[in-house]
Amino acid sequence: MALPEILNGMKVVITNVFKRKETISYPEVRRQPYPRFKGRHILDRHPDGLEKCIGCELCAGACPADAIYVVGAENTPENRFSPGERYAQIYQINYLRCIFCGLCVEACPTEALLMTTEFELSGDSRDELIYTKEQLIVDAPIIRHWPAKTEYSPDRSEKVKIKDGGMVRDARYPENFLPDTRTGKGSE
Amino acid sequence: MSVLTDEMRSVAEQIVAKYPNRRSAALPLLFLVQSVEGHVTDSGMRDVADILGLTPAEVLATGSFYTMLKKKPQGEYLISVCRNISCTHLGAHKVFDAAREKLGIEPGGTTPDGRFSLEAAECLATCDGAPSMQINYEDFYKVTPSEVVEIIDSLAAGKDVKSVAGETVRPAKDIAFETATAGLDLPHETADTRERLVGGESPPSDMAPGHRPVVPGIDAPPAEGGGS
Amino acid sequence: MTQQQTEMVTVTINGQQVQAENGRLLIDVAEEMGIFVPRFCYHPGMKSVAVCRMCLVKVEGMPKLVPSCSTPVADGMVVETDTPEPAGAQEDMLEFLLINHPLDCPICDRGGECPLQDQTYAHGPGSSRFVEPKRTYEKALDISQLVVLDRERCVLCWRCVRFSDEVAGDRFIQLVDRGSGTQILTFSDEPFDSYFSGNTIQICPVGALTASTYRFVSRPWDLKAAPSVCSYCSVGCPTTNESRGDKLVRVQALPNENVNDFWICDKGRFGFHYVDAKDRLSTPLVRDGDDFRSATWGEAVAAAAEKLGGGKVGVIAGGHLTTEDAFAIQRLARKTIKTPHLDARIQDDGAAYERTLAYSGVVGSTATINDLDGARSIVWVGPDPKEVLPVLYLRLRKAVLDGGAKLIVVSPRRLSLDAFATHVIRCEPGGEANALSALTTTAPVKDDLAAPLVACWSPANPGRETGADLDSLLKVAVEKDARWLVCAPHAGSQGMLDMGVHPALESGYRPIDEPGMDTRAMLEAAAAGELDALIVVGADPISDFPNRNLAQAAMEKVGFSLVIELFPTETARLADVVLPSTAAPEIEGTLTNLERRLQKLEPLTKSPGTAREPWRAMADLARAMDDDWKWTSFADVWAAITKEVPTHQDLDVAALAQEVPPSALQYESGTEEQPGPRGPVVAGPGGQYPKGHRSGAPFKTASWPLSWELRQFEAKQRPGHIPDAPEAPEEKVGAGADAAAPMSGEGFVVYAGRQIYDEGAMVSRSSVLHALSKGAFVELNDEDAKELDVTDGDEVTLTAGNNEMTATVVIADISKGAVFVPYDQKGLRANELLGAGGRVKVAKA
Repeated sequence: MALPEILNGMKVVITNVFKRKETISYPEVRRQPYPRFKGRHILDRHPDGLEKCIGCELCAGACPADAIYVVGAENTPENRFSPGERYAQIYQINYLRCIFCGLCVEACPTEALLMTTEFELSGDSRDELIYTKEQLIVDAPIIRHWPAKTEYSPDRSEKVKIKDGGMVRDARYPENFLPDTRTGKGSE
Repeated sequence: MSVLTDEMRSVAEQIVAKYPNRRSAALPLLFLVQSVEGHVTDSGMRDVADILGLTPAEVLATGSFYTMLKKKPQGEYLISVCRNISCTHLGAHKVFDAAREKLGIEPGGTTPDGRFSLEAAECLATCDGAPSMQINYEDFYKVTPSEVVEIIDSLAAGKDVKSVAGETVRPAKDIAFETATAGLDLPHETADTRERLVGGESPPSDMAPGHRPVVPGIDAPPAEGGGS
Repeated sequence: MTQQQTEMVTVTINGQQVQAENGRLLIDVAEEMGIFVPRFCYHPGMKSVAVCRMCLVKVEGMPKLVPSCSTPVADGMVVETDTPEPAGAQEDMLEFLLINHPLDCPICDRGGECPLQDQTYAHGPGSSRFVEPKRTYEKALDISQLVVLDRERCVLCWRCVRFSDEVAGDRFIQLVDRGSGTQILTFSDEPFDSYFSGNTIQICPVGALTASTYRFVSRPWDLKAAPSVCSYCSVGCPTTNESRGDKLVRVQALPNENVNDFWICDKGRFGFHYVDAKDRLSTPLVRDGDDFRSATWGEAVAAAAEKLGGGKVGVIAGGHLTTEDAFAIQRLARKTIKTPHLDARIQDDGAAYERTLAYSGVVGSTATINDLDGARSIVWVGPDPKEVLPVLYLRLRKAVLDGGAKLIVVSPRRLSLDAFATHVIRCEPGGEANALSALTTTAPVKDDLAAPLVACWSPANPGRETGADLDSLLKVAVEKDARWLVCAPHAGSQGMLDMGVHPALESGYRPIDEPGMDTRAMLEAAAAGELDALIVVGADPISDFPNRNLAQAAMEKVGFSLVIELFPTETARLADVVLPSTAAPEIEGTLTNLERRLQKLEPLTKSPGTAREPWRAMADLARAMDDDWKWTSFADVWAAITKEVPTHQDLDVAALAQEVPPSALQYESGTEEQPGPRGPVVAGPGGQYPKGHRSGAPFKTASWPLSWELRQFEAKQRPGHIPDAPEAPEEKVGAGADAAAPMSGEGFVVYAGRQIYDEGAMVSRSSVLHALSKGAFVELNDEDAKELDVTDGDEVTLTAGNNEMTATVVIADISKGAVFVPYDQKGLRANELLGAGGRVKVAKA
């Protein structure tokens, strides 16, 4: 009497044995998040090395979790951090509060604040998870690939085809993400 | 660091006395300063402020509004060539280029010897005489490029140059002094006073600013009231 | 104020009918109805100029749109502010204004509280058709220590120029050049050197004028705000204190038409840095040999209480304390320690405020500041109000220039008031009484002494008995049936008098039969070793008392001294026990201003360490001396005050509480109840606005009432139950007799006076203001200068007793034989000179 049920159950098991696994053995194997996954932030630089962040606090104003703390200060000719008058003297993001909504990135008027796909944020103390400007700022400008496949040349005279166009990718952390060996999903 | 000498200050007081309020004399006094230094300097504006009991900022605010009060060093002769439509149609740009080449300066500039300044002017209200030009606000009508060079040469050589109205073109400082002291009953003849106080060329004593007799030889003589 | 009946007219605005006073401006009437007409140049504190053209509205029957800021209402007027025609005009105006306005809002200090930003969202076009390059100027110009100018952002509304011209009279900022090159500028190297320059920052509708102290410091959404009162002088201007985190970052003026109109002085606005000065005391200190050791509060209080139990005790209080502190000090002295020796007059040593009692029943003013506006004549006797009571100077200026009052100034030296005074009477220092008694009999002055008259007096020349001039003035006032403003100099001085911190007066102005010692007598007794203990609360007699050596000796010789202070002042360094005190932005309290108006301070920031309000210190001391007052809160103190002070019986202190103003104080912005004053959302070529704004919510930066006539509780702010004036004294005005007495001997008579920026404990801790102090100078009459063979800018030495000082000569209009020295400047402490008899020898250095 019980046999049909057993066989029925085993059918589920056996079909799944031959199905592809959805789990991976993290952290030995890591799945690369989708390109637009919202992970921890970085502060970008201009090609000349100046900080893009001008300390305007719009990110802090936009933040629904009150996770960002910025104090502006004035650039001087001797001590220049960013173009223009203002720079961020203090820039902190509290990852205990951050909800990774990305409103700060939308608010940023200079495209200084970007989100990477890094999601592995943990620490031993609360302090450790308050990221300071030194931790957030990149050493060299991020090379970004724009979603547009073509773009106007600077003098607007011709359309230029963009290499790697059509992708948004953060070039800073490719080594963090081993391709998903099994599906290759998100590895493009 | 006073620009105005004591004697000049006494002239200034006479100018001030013409007005019910001291501050009303700001413009003539600025012209008085310009007659000494060729343009209105900071120290000159301080003097005017001092005489009138205003702050220098107020004097600056008043003075900077008027284009005939020069804020930067200005040549002895200011050549203004009209660049508006009637004049341009009739070749004003050629006149302008000739002057520019002759003087070797760009519009708004002054020759290194401080004799000439050149500017591109907006309509000078003498379209009937296009292309028209002014030298120290005296009109020249139907100017050709070669005429400009000729006039500049004459002025440089210190010769008298007559405007279309038959007036002799006089140096900027003289005109400024005359504007400042217009209608003033100076103790001496204007010419003497001017010479004594400022030095330089004396203006003819019968001159009054704005005086503009009708001159034969012009297609349409100016109507009453100076309309063109 | 005015009694005359105003005619009412009926106006229809956006379909709503309203009754309005004839002749009022359309923009104001609309605003009171909750209809907000956008504007940049219009400011209710100044005359209309209608230059920004932003407030154009449609008035039926008018051929064109009219600017509502310069159009008075008339009967039957039908106005539209939001129909397509006016709305389109407003939109176009904004497009024009934005042609040259840089889009640097992210770095601009105004961003987030900017009328241009807000009104662009509410009334502006969605996009601009202007693609050409904008005009540019050099970015930030420091036009003074305090004000930074960015000409690119200016929309040429003239507000700063008009303020400097109409209100302050310091015309240092002007519109320069013409056409599209018009710009706001100061004269080349002359700074915007006004005591009121900060107001231009507050009224600037864009970020063209910003504060150097607030540059890139914060954003409006970071700020917490609390209403407070400026604690620098006795005008008592209402302010908003704003803090980021727990740090005070900005002080702005709160409008109150009865006190300060819209303005505060730069000292009040920028002088707040003392609250987090590095040397601020945060823990009690107890003397340990030559040095101090930190102690707990209880330990320090116990140590003090032990020494205060018996013997002869004196109490000296300072001028910056609250009414509650004053009450507690008085209660501790009279009830617990049982000493009659207490006084709060230090710089104004000998100021005879109590003389007014004989004429009016109050010690202090009978007039209000607003009475100045309705006055036909005003008499001023005292120091230069621009230096000492800056906003009162603005009110006096307004009363004379706008109200048409005739001003009579009696002073030994030229005051800033002379510029618009009708009569200036120059007298010798100490000769004010004589000059005043001649006032009513001498033509032409007597003809201009018309009622309503306000007689103003403030103690001048520290160290001099001033009873005679006050008596003469009151005599004039009584003869002319006038009211008077008797201005005790500091924010808390009037509160001290009200609460009876005075050797001859109990609280509620009740005279005492056997008066105690005043400050001078106490210091003399202490210096002679006759005083067992001295309590000094919020005062620094060594720096401030007009006899430095005496104060120094007193602190050294006194048996025991307790000092309650914010900073380790010279006096505190000589104390046996020091208790840390609190600053005005940190406490809940009240201050009584020079017209006896009580105003409430709300706490904003935390005081450092274990610092406590002086009234708590007094209560702790009382408890340690077995007199438990059972006070734990502000309300407890007030319960005691209403019980024990007859004049304050009916005061409801809760009624003084003010609505907390928003951090971004914009009177432009409408109220909570009226969420839509910014008009309808305008559809521009770029689509609906606010498009792309993160919340999409209508802008509401403020819930503060629009109208500046906002004090409902006004009437209750002055103490009631004024006792009747006692019989007027038989003949108190011995004019010349006691006035001329102290001024004999060799040398020049010293006439000292405070300057706005001095070495005071609070203001000198604000580095920007300290840099503006004038330093050591001495004013001389030109004849005297000739005799001494000195001229403007020369150095002279001043010798008095053993003290010798160097100062720079300023030739000024001052009575012959007198010199003016600033009271408390770097390198010139007048209190060292005044100790030696009030005369000084001057010689060329």
